Amino acid sequence: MLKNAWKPLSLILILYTIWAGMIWETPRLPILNETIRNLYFHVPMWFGMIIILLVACIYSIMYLNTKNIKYDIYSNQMTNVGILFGILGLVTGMIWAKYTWGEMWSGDAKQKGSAWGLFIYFVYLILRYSVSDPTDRAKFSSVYNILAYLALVPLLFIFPRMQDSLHPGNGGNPGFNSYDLDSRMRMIFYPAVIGWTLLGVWLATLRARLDLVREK
Amino acid sequence: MTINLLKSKSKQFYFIFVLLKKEFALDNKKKQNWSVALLYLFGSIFTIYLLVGQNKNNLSIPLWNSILWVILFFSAMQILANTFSKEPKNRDFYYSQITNAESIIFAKLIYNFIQVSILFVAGYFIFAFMLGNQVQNLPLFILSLVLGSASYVSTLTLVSAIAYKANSNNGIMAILGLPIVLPTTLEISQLSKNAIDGLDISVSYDEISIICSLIAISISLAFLLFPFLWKD
Repeated sequence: MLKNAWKPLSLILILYTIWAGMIWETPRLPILNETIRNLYFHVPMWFGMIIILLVACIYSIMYLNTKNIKYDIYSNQMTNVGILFGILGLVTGMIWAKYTWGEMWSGDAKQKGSAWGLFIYFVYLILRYSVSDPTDRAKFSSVYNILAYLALVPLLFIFPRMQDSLHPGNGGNPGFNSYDLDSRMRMIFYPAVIGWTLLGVWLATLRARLDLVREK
Repeated sequence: MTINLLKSKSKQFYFIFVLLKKEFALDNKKKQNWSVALLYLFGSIFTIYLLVGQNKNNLSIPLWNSILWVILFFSAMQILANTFSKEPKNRDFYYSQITNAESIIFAKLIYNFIQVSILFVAGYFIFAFMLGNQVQNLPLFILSLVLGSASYVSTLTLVSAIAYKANSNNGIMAILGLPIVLPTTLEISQLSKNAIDGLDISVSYDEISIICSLIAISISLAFLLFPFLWKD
């Protein structure tokens, strides 16, 4: 029973963060105003994506070491969920940018980097479609997945910091840590990160188990 | 024990040397590989020359730089896509019998690096001859060409191995390689932009160190991952 307790826990945490994120008081800041609540919905997507794609990368390494097809299926489904989170993160970020930067897409370094990072993972999907033999597909996509993760990290975290960017935490702008002086926002933000990540893992394991059944 | 180890080490170096010699012999025998890449380079530069004209003011410096790098990237792709598919059919098994995967990838990396850096320098001179030279710091620009070829080769050799093993058509190579080399392309074009503007090399130490670390990462990845691809 307790082994599966994290599954309902993820739902409880997400419902709590949606309720508290909409209702609870936030710091009153110029320009940001109420859009600061996007912290509870946009940032957990990227945190969840990075964690889940890291898990997918580790599964790929485990596949190459053991040649057990199970790890490849898990790696593939983790990557699918990571791509979903990335798209959601990009969309929520664009909605936020509409109200703070004035335009949905202003060609910011962070926007360009994350769009290109997603493109790398779309190519991963194309590679998987183009190979039909399951063992070969597992081998090539595992190698490519490791390459993709190592290309994604500089695109998201190194290049936006070196160029001019309006994104909080980049280009000399303060990150969210300086906004929540009374750490009230952290009470919602960290549960949101944990909740969304657990939900993503749940989704991925469900689909991977379905694939494993199909394989037999 | 130590003698055996030394023996095997020197044997490995010997194999790398033999494999390199084989690469040169192969390209000397089948000249289409080189001539296709050179003609591709010349043809695309000539097209841009016809479209834009030789007047130096027709292209702004950022545009000059980016067109040059797009052409160089795709001509490198043209030559690197054949890294493994140019081998005679069914040689893979023979190579895996006489040597190990690390020697093969090492020889391929060195040979591709020589090939692509010659191609890049030639491409720059053709481009400058046809569209006007805008480079003020030539040594730094040549350095950026060499670093660019090293970073493209270190990433795309592994990608071409994936494309060769996946299926032997070259279309998938471009789509696999393009997104992976974007981080290096951004840094390289920044470095060559500095060289075009005639800035001193001390301004570009940041870019050079980042490019070198990216090259180191991708070479070590090629060594780690290629054996998994090579053996069936």
